[in-house]
Amino acid sequence: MRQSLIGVVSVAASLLLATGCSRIDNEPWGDPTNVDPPSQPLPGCGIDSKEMRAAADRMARSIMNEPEVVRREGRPRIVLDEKYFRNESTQIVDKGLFTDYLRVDLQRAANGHFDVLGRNYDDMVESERQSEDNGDVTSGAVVESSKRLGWDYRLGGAIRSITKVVPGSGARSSYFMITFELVERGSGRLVWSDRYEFKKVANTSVIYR
Amino acid sequence: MNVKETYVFPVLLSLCAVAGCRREGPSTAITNPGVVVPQNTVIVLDKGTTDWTAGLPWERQSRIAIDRHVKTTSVTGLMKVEIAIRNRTDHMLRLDVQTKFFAADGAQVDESATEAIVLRPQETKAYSSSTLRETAGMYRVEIAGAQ
Repeated sequence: MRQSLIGVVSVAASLLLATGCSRIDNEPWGDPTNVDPPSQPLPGCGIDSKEMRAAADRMARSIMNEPEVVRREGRPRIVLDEKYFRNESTQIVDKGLFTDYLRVDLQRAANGHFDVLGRNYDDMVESERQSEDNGDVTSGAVVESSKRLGWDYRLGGAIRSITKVVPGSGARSSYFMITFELVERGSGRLVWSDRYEFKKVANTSVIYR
Repeated sequence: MNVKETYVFPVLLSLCAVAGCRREGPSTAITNPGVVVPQNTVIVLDKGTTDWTAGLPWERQSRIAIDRHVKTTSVTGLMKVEIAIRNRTDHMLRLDVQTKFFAADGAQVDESATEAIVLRPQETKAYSSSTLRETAGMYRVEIAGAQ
């Protein structure tokens, strides 16, 4: 009886020991799973992260090759926001994805050739100015209050599409053309234009949100 | 069953369990500084997608050919790469292309977004990319089958 008890205790101790040595596994074994941003694991005929990134990235590189913007004397000021970037396509798209990507890329690449103005933060700047005018806050430690800077060039453009759907089957094709332009202040002259286009077909319909 | 036999099995089992445990904590990554990473060229990442077997099993051929790849400087002084990709097959090819830019010391300073390129049978298409960084002096164009 005593021997059996010792045996059972020993086996239990062994099992506990073995259990304590189990490997810590933090690898994902089910959804959600991280994927590369340009990858498209789900089918769809619309603008995906891959096309958005490719279009905005190509435009940033195109602008950096425009001497009127990059080599112009006097360090021009550029506004790159979504205000005049229209979505005329059949797909619901967050236009800010394009303009934010472009603005961040160009801000990082500007290197003193031009200034990027944050007109999308006008509310923030104006609110602080009013607080300062009211005496609620002091001026900044290193930056004096001044008038907001005017722009020399501003981004415009549009997303347009042609979509075909086969009724009842879910099959569809979509063509997209995305244009980007820089408009000169006062004259309205286009100092730079470029476009990105692609077409996709799929046998299944998905909903973009 | 005597007392000795009663102890031997659990002790052996315990030893096996302990021996099976992996040491906790990170391990040192494998480094191979002897490998020369090609620069100023075009490379194919997944040969399984871009290669095909013609005839005998060892007669592997690439589905694509790079007819031209040149490095130039844009009017704004930035490095620009232009390549011509030719589809050697009789069917459509879908490729993902990306350019990475490197400084003189080999450090990567910029990479373009991955772009999809569709080639009709036997078609040659131009692809170009320019860097956003003035420090870039070398490039590597990476081609893979479209995802």
